[in-house]
Amino acid sequence: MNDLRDLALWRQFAAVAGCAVVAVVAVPAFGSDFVIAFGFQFVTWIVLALSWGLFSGNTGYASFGHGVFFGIGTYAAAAVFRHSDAPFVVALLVAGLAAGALALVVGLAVFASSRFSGDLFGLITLAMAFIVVTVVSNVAFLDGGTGVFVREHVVGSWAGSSTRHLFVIAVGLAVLTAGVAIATSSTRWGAALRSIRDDEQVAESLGVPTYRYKVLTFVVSAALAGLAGAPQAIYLGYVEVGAVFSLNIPLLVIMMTILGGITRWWGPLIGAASVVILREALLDLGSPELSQIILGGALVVVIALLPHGVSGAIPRRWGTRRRTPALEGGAR
Amino acid sequence: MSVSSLALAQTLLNGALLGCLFGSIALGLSVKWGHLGVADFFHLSLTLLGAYLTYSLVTELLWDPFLTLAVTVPAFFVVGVGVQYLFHLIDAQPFTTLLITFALFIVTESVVSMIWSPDLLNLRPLLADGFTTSIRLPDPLPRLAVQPIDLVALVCAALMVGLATYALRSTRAGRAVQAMRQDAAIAETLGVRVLPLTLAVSGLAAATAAVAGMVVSLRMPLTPTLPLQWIGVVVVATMLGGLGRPLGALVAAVVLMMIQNAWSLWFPPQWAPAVTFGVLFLFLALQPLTRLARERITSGRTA
Repeated sequence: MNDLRDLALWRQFAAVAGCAVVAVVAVPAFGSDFVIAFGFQFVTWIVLALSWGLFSGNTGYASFGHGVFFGIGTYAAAAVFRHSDAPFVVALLVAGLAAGALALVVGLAVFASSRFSGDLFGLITLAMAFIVVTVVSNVAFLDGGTGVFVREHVVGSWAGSSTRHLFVIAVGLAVLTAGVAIATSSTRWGAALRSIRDDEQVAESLGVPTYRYKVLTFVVSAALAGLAGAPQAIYLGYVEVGAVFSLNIPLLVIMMTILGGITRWWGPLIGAASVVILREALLDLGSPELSQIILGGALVVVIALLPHGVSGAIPRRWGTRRRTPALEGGAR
Repeated sequence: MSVSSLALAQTLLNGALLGCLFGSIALGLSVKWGHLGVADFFHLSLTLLGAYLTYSLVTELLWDPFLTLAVTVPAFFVVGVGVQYLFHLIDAQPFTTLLITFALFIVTESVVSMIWSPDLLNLRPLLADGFTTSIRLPDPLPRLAVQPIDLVALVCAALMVGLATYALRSTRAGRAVQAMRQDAAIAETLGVRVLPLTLAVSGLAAATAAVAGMVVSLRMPLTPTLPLQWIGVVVVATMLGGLGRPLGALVAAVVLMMIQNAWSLWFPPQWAPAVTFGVLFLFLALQPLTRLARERITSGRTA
């Protein structure tokens, strides 16, 4: 792949890796427990938002199933901890593989027909959420309705001993996700995905293998969300269907990405930061319902006023305010 | 495990009547999705809101449940018009409208649990006996019984779906809606006033949520998360019935609920929600086959 020799691309990779190193060194060393826990959640949201943007942002196929992939990762990891003494790495891999496998099955089926695009795709991924919830809450191996205590199974391990370690893991996953996101921003892969968003039929007629790209990217995006589920299982300590598969998770992820904008790979980063800070600020209200209302209302306002998100509102080259029509095709 | 035919008949009957309720919820969704291109989650929230408003008016002001429609129907019409006008103002794409209604869905859940508390609220103990005593069916089927409320659901569903189907097929405005669905720009050129028409359709669809909400409040205990339990059946019925076809959605909802209820007789009932989606995926998987069969038939005819 010639695109990977592009210097600007490597500069971005280096910047991300540099930020990650600073975060891994500075936050656990100087931060209080609160800062570390907050940082862990923040980084997890970044992984989710970036991985959602990877598929849904690039292709325009909006998935409501991202919370499901995250939740499956959480439950897969919890099942590994509960039924075996395998180390954390195994749980992490199982989490990613489980989410990726589900996405593979769904993707192969759904993308086979062009009818399931747009809102129909969104609803199918939502239906997937309900089926997965029914399965998980009825299968005793995974949950069976009582919830799973993870904490007692991971007490002795490295990952389970401190939130600092979870933070380091999450940062690692974020670097991985950002790396993939950067790669899609300027390689053939990313260009193919965006051509699907702009006009799938034209892309196909010009020889872009849209089916293969869609399935592949859907799987990668889901697997990344699944990976993020593994440290989340330890962080939560007690895993329960209602919280893990809450509809808020896809809503927040979509909100972060829309707010940040999908026309640049780093848009979701800004979105994740804004939403996490907003949520933290709303905690002081003491009413989860009220903060929910404000968040939902904020999403409506953001969609109405900033269809391209924050990053889309910033001109592509600083100084030139000219906006070419080609850039207008962005957020859908 | 053997199940008596009486139990099966009663279960199927209950399922069919509950399906009527879901069919009347699906009516608004089907019309908005099929004709306005808005896959409206918020319609389910409006139904819930209608149910809670009915509950409050009945318990606190001691209104007759049917009288509450005089308030909720016009109020919901205005809400429906307002939401559609917002979509018009921001020139929303289908996906944007889906997101906005999804956000409103979540907001409404929180609003309801703030105002009415997340606890179960039950209207049934407060109703007159006429509402709650089961009625035995007349002579040929003397051993089956129905709830009066289910009959209300049946009548409401039949009325609303019948009116909507008639209006869409046979009135001038209904034909304009069909034309608009096929090609809005051309319809506008030919004299269809698109904006007032979409606003009116959206308002009417929302108004049906008020009626469905009244039936809901009479039929089941209320919690803010009820729409999550409906969403499967309602959305699947809408899709199976064909977008924009209220009658199809009603029939699909009735069939779905009959299947779901019959399933619970033989298999663990906690799996019943998955049955609905199973039917949907089966239907989707069969699509290529039906298309193949149809093309076979038509090509045979032309050859």
